[in-house]
Amino acid sequence: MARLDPQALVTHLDRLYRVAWALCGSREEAEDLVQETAARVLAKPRQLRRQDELAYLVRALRNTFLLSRRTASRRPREVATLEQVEALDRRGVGGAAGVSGPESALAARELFAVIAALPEDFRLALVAVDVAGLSYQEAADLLDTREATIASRLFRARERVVRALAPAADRGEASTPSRSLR
Amino acid sequence: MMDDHMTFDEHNDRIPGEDADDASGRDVPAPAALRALDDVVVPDRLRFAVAEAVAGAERTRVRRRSRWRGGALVVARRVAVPLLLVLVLGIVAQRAIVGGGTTSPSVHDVAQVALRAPAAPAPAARPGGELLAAHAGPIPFPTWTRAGWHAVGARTDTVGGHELRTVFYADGAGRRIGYAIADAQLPVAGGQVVERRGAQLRVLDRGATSIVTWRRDGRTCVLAGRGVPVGRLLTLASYAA
Repeated sequence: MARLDPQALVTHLDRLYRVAWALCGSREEAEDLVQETAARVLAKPRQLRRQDELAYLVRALRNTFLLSRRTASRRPREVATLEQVEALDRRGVGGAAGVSGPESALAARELFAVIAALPEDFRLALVAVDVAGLSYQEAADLLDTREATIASRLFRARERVVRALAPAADRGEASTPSRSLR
Repeated sequence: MMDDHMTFDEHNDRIPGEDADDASGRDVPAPAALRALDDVVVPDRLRFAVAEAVAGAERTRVRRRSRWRGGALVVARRVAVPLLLVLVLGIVAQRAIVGGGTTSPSVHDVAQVALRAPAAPAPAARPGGELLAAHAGPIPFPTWTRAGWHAVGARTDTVGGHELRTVFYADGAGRRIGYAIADAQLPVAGGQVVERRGAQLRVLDRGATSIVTWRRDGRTCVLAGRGVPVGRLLTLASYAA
């Protein structure tokens, strides 16, 4: 049985951060979640059971997320101004297609908010496969379900994400990330 | 060759076993917007905090290990060391049999290179227009111009002691793919094996990234692209495999 190399946390940090953001829907909470997960993982040596490092860390992150959601005292959400978003995301969200920082930062924020608003089963499937990059089998193991169920949930989750993003783009209006997808 | 009754696109987008009515995530590509999330990286302050926590945990572990060593040195010498030796020899023998090497990069490592930026200009086309003036050992790189792609760059890397030669292609829509060839048979696990035109191709799903890999002439070929349908990669791969 292999032991988890603590350096895996650093190696997969960007991906874990994206997963955390997609789960929480808030960058501030995502940062807290990643730090808390790192602290829990590093608290003692960890054994990998038939998993690779990324699958293990995503599971740890998800468990920490579910645990933190159950606790009553959560810090209030802060609403970032556009200037704060620009400053914080200037290097954090690059323009993959030549889009300038603030625009792509807002697009990413909206997309993460859309994902976070998905029903839990759909959200977890989409986060595991499309955000974390796990295989269907790894996602099925993570969520204790069958591969076919993952495929079905993923289909519906992708469909809802596309639907949620389309109207705003068509109208050319500001996004409404908090709208319900249920 | 391509089925006479299908257009090029229809042929490209079909994968064996697919059913248009099946509500399956395999049939619907990830929304293009999700690809942009790949560019989201951790803020520096969080990266430093986690790196510091990892370094602290490793320092603690080293201290604990050295304390354990002091107490159990005699036992370790007489029992654990021979056992460890047998174990290591077993692992080395297994890797030599299964993987053919000890520190081979994986197909995913090769795919990462295939997704990087070109470092050299595109190789010229040879007379005939089907092949480029570039090759990895006995395997020439194709032009794929008839399939709507054209070479846009190249690079050569060494990963885990193996040489990778990569040629990058782009299509009319500006999508880019990388075709990397490693000079050895690299280990690969998981994914779905698909047969196209008699070639055994393996499809690996990594979120928004499509990867198709196959072996030829003792080498590992990897075709990877973001936002490109797997069916399209399979068709291109079937002409190169």
